[in-house]
Amino acid sequence: MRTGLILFATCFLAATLLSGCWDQQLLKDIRIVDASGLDLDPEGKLQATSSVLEVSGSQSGNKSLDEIQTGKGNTTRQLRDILDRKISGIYSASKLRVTLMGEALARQGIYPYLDVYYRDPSSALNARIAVVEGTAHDILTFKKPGTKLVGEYFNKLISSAERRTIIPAVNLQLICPPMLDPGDAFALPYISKDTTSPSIYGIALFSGDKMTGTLKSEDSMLYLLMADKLAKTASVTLKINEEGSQNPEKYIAIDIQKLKRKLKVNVQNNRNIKVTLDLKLKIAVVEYAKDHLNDKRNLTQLDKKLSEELTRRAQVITQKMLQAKHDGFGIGRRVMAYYPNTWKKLHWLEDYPKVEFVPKVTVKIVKHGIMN
Amino acid sequence: MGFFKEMLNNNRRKSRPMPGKSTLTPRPVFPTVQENIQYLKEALFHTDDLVRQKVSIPGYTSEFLFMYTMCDQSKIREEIFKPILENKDGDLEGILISMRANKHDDLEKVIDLVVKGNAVLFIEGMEDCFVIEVGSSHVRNVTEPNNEKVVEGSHEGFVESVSINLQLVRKHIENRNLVVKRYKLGNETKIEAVIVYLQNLANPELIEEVDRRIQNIDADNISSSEFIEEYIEDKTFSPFPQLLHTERPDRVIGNLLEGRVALLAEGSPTALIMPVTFFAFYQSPDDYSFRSLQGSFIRFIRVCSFVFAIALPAYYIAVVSFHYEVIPEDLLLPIKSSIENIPFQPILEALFMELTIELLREAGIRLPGPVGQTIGIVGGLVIGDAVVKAGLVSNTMIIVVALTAIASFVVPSHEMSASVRMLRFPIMVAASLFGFIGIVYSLMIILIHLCSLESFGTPYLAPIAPFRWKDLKDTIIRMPQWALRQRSQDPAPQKLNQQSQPVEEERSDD
Amino acid sequence: MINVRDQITPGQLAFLVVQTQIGVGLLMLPSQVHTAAQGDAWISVLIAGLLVQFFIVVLWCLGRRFPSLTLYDYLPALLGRYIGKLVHLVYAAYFILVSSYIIINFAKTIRDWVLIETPQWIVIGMMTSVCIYLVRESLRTIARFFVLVFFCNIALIIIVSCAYLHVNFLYILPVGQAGIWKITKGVHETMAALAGYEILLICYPFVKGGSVAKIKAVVFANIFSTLLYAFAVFTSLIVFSPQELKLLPQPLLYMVKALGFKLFERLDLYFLSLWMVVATTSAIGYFFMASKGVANLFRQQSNHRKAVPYTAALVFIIALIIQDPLLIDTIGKILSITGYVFIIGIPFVLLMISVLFNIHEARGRPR
Repeated sequence: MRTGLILFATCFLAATLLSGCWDQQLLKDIRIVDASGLDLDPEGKLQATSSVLEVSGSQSGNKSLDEIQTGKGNTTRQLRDILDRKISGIYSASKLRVTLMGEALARQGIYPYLDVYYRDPSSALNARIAVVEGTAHDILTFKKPGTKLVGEYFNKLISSAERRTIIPAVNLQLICPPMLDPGDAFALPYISKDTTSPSIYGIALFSGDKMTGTLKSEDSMLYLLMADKLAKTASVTLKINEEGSQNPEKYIAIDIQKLKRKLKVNVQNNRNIKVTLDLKLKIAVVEYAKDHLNDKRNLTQLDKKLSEELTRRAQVITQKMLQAKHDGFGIGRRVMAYYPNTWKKLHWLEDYPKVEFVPKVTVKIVKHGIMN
Repeated sequence: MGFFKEMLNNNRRKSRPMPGKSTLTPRPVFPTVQENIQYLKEALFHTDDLVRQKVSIPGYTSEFLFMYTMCDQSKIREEIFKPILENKDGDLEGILISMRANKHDDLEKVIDLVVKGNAVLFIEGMEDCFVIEVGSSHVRNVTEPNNEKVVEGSHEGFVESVSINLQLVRKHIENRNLVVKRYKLGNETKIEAVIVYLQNLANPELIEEVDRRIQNIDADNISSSEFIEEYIEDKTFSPFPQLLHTERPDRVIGNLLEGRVALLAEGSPTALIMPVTFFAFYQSPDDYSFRSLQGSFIRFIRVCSFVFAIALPAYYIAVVSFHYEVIPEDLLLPIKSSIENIPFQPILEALFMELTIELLREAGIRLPGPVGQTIGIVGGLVIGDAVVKAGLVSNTMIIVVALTAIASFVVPSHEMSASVRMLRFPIMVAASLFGFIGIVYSLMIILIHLCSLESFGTPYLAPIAPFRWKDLKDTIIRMPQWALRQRSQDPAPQKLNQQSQPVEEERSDD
Repeated sequence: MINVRDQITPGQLAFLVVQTQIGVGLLMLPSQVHTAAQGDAWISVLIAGLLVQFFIVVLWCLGRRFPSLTLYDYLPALLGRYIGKLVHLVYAAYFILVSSYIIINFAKTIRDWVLIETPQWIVIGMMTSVCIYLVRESLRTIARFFVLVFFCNIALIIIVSCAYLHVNFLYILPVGQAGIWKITKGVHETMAALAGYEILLICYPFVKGGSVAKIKAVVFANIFSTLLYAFAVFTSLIVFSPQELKLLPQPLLYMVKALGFKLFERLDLYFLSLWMVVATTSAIGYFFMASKGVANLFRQQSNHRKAVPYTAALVFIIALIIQDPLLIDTIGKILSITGYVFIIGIPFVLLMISVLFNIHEARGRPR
């Protein structure tokens, strides 16, 4: 019996060793795609643009370049095959860093185009995703400053904006739950084309998987604060004085230190939904030309002015959200969780714009740098 | 197919009756000197180093016989001629006493003694012969063993003589419980082997088992302790050593005090310690001469090095040929650019480099010291650099292989180090076939093997499997000496406690 | 009567049970229970764990009446020679089928996630060979190995905990949304994943110590498995929105796939490697029960080792034959229903017979 076992093991080993490695995919054979863009051309065809890394084989000092390849087709997967034919080596999107979506495509709905990313076991679910003004192809082929790789460039561009709470920290996986959830929504970074370089414009608001609006960077920061998503830092410059001998004296720059948000959803008469959003900010003044921040009266006044200004802005933002049918604060989810009976009667897409938002921002200055 | 069975069951053979060891019938001493000498010469086939010499003891015709290759001339003068000269008028009895002669009446036994380096004195008309010890002994000095150096602590090492080795052990354990059991091993070589243990600690069942296995050895050529190992270990075809080799008396003593048994044999400075666990191979006397924090740190690193040495190349192969997704973004480009133009598959690259390192190591051992170093430099630096420049092996692979080599040489035991170096090849192959799945598969097989392995009835992987929380204190880390209140359970000592509870002392600083 | 080398401690029994319980179910369970019980899936898991505790008590009562006999040994005494043999055969077949099912599911998951091109028989063969290699050893060695690889469970928990960086607790509210009927269905789904404690039927006589220590060990083991499953299900529920969860067959893997840190990216590959060990131990547990059954089929109280190659051959062939995903699903359904019969139905009947006719072990021999 032992002999039988040994024979079996030998045969098994031999068969395994001789037949080779089926799934082997050598790192040296693949071509890494670090950024890809998806666009919808006017005829409704899908256009994909990929930046493929060109790794020089020299052992010392890696000066890497990338080439941009474009193709047209019907689905994302099909385009991978088309691009694979254009490049030497095996097309691999499993180290993708950034996916850019053209605005036209984003307004049509992004899920069908992302399906392959979600289905493929080797895909990079932690790739960042952003919407661009115009087409992704234009932005990817834009002559970029310096010699940074395209993927790395956009990756850093987006991640630095994430740090400053201008855009939400999202990746392919993180947007998936809200995208499929009727009671939630997500927002993506929105990149616009400047004359000299791509820049972060703000965020693109989504409803379901369709883009429905945008917010500028100052607004997007407040939006993120209202969504309780303060990243490392968040700073904003506000106009608070009308008088002042010089222009800078009219402005104040603040840095948000601490954030406390209270979101309450109230359903009245089973139908009317009222959302009170109470935002308490503790801020540091980082630039204020008029000085004298040690005066208590001055401070209270400033607090009050800032609160009013921010509240006003918050109201504008919520209005925009309602217009875009963008449920970024997950109001629907809350209704589902706390008022399940109401939820059953609602048709959320139509009922959401009827929600009444009452935002209130309270600001308190806690720091003012090393000068009064 | 019985061959396989025989092979795999090597040491599980049942205790069978003692093999017919050549027992010759006793041969009484002849009455005349001439006859005796003739008989001995015949028995030793007239070997040319057998020398006969007459001595003049007043009143007796006497002659003695010895093998000059085995005897010390000055001892012969001291032991044989001097007593005779000093006792010119004395009686035979007095002379023999001052010669320190032993009476024997069986010539067959005498032959064995002559071969060992004794002189035998025949006296005309007597029914006994007298054996006088005049053997010369060439024993090396007690020096620190080259292969087990320590930074701090005792620098003594065993030598090739059992009696000196036993003395080294006894010197440190002045205890009446230290028991020595002697065996004559090898039907042709007949070397002396001893097992040493502490009667009040070592488990009697263990002693019995060791005794049984040694008694069962039936081989012509046993010439040192390493020969004995394969006869008495549990599974010869396991990649892991099941007996600890050491040339350090302090290591032997430490193990004896834990209730283990040590085997020493004439002809080799190596003591075999049994039973051992896997972690014993990762312990070094240095751990105990350092303070516990430092000792723990070093030992922990050593145990980690096992994982490194066994799995690092396999992990690298799996990553670059299957799962490049796991490489962090910032590392991806450097790694990719270093392997971009390598013509071989990673597994071939790795095998090539690993084998090169093995060759270098082997070459370095054989060559004399200074040349060995040169080989190391030529091999390590020149080949390493040239191979990368020639584009045969990638930079990262060199780093991986070098790290692995260092990690495998950290092990304080050479046998374990060799096992580790051997074991990583199958894992590498598995990794090149199935990626991570292959690595996990082969590691599982190794773990299962380790779990099933036993050394003289002690689970090899104790105290991890079976899990013994209390014994962990001296396994991966080393707790302070005063905390090692109990011996580890794995050799099943008769007495667990080795210290009393520490007394909480009131400490005053003034 | 029981070989000393086969004896294990109650502590080892606990690990034996845990490792047999936690297996392939860990990956599949969250989506299965979620399909049945939606946001209340975690409640289902907890209830199922509680129910299992009662089952364990029944099995223990039965084992206690025959302290030195395995299930296979006292079947004939309770059911008569022929029916006893028949039930014995069915039990062995059931265990063989379960081991095959585990191995099939394992191979399928591996194929879906990493080794896409590798032929199935290789993965199945690898798994089977590990099983053979361990089950050939004594029960004590098996238990030692199980204790050793328990750390894999801990590592899995740690990896999954990383997912708590992005969670939304609102997904599980309101508690009780699914209703009792759906929760019950969820309990049914969980029962199959929690199976494995029936190893008590076979291992009871091999455990040293009193009966109280034994039940304590198994109860603790079950508490651990239940909590681990509940943790897995709960985490999946709060990480994925209900709509997305419906699309994912292995939510836990999917969840860690998106995680990445500076040094480690794509945690799913590491997760899968660790899970492989956990799944193997589960298969080994059933493999042991099966080979014990096969061995005893021919000779009373013989050693399970002798039957290992035959059992392995059967398991391997069954795993090779069943490849159609729909067939696998069907078998899974059949197993989860017949599971009740084998795990609790028959033992309960046996216990009743034993109590009613006052049959129990006397001086090491069944009457």
